[in-house]
Amino acid sequence: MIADALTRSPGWDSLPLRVGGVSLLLTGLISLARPAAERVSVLMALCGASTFLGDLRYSSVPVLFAVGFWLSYLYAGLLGHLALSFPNGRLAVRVDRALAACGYLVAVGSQVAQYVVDHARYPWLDRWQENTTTDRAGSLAFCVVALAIGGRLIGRWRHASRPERRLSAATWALVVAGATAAVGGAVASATGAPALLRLVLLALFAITAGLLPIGLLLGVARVHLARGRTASFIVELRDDPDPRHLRDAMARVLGDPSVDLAFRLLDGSGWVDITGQAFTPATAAASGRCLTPVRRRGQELAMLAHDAALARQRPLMDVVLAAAGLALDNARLYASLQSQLGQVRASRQRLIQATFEERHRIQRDLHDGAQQRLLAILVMLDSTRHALRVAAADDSVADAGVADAGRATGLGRATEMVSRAHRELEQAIGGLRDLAHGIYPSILVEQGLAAAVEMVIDHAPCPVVATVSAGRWPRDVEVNAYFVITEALANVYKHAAASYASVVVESRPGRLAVTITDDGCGGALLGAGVGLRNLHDRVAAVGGQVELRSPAGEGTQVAVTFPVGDAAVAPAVHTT
Amino acid sequence: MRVVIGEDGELLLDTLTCALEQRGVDVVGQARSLPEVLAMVEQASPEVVILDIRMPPTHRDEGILAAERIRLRRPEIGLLVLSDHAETAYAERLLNMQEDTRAVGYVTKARVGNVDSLLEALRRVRAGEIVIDPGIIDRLMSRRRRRNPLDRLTAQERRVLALVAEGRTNRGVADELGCTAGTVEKHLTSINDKLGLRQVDTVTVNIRVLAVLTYLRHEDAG
Repeated sequence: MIADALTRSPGWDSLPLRVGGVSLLLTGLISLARPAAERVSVLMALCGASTFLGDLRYSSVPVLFAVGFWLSYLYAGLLGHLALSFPNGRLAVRVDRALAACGYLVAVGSQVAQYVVDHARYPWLDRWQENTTTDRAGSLAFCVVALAIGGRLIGRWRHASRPERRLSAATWALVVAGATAAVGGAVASATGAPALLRLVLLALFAITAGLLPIGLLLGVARVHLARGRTASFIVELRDDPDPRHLRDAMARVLGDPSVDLAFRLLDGSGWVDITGQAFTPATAAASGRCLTPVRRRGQELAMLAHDAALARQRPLMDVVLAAAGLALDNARLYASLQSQLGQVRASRQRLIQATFEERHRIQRDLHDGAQQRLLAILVMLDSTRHALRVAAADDSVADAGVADAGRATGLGRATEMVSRAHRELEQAIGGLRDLAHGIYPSILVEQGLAAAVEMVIDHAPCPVVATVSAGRWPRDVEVNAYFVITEALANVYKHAAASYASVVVESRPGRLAVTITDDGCGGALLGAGVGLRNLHDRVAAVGGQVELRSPAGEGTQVAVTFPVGDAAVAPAVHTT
Repeated sequence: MRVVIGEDGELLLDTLTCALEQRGVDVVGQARSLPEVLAMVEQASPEVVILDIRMPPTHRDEGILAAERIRLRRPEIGLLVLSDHAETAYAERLLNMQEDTRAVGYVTKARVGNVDSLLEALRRVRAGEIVIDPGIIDRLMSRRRRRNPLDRLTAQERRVLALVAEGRTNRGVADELGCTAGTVEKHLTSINDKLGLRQVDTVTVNIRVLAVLTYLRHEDAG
């Protein structure tokens, strides 16, 4: 029978294993000879060589037999190690190291156990189908480890980046197929399945191992194919300075959607990313990104942050970076300008904020100082007036007969003077209060925009209707909206000759819309007067927009929108 | 009359204390912050508490907070709140403290410069009345409107409306105008017809003050 014939002939049943072994050994040796040899090559060569260790079992010298017997499945452990450490030969995480160690332990340990327990001695190979308990235990352990390694690789595949998959797809598929065959073989031998089935599974395992080098070559070939796409990429990049498009194109060609670009600022003061935000190479490197500097004219001008797998596809990277050269220069200029613009905007916003803080300080000083003191003096004047009146009344009662006319007139005049002083001071205090409120509307900060706007239109010289959404917004948004409204209304009173005006403040998703409309003479121009220019500056500083519609004779509408982080949406309150 | 004053400006606090004592008011306590006010009220059991709206610790609305807490614990004590800006939202908050809020006053801080009128407000609050600063009502009534429904009122009706908004009862309005309560009721019916201001003729004072304030704040026939 064929099976019998095969098992009795040591040459044929081990042929697949030998072919696989030779293939691994040769690939390992060839890649070791290349300058950029990696640890994975060493592992491959060792693995290939170790498939022949089992042949020592044919020796009748006890020591050689023992070594051969112990190490006859070492190659399986090495294969597990190879699979786990692909593609760079390193076991990066503890799980992988533990799994590889288990592989070695089972591959060698089960044989040593069998040697001791079953007293395996030459010529053992004639008795190999006996399938002892130790044998079964060994198969079971082998099965568990192979399953674990296969599972681990499937998990890794699911989390792999695109460049990683491109490089490793074929290899990992082979490893998983091999692991399946190995598990099948182990189960078959543990359950005492027909010898032919066991042989076939073992052969499959050996063949997948032997095919590993081809899988590797396939990966490299796919990387080379990707390089070919750069031609269309160069065409794509012509005349487009936007760094975001450059990044997208590079991500496409490199097959790594996570690719990011950073540029050295024109003044060399630091790095910015494609949106003009500050970029810190150290932080990016710390978060596990791989950084490749880009040199132009001998200077490091840009940096590519990418997946670690791309670092092993250096030729592809070099081609892409060379092709992107001019585009990178343009993008760097663009990104630097964006960054400077952002800084200017931020400093303008800080200035406005500082002005507001300063106004608050002045208002507080006025309130706690002059206003309180003047109010106290007002009370004193009132008390004095009261005392004078009481004195005059006492006089008129006590000395009704011998009225001291001079004293009475004196008292009367003093009362008159104090009353005048009281009236004047009352007005001065009112004026000071209005001034303080104009400098810093504390109601705005405490009660919100609706209350503050109501306060504004209370003093309006022409009818103003205000509809302000109830609710609160970030303070700077409220402050800017408030000053926009007062500025625009001041313009209406001064220039528009309007019979009425309206203020509408509406909360919209992500922004606050403020519209001031009047029915006056129109013809206003943005930037023509100081008022509108101030308004425009204030809005621009916070990234808002101003729209002015002011046809002559048809009134004016100023529509402003402010960006708001998370706008409060609440029902509108109608206010006169 | 026993009064506690809550005011953080030292000079103003002293001057005001002197001025009130000069008119025979018994100032039984001075407080300079929200916690001090609450402690002083417990300790001195005043008839009325004068509360500056801005006091430490935050200088925002401690006066209103104090009013709300005192009303909860000692509902018999009258409350007079002083405000820089005479903001109607605060007045509405005070009037809404209870279903039938009484013995509450809300006046501008400038009013302390006229101690006689401050004294009158204190007396009215002690008597359980509601006092809203005439200045606030005046400002609201003279607010410019595109089509002003208030124009439909006679001069006398406007005065009646203003006095109602200041918190007077029908009796109080009548006394102020030197007419009978019956005349005031007739005016109120007429105001109601012209403005459609339903709750103006109710007897619950805080509700009709709120009704008039809301009307004045939000009415614009445009």
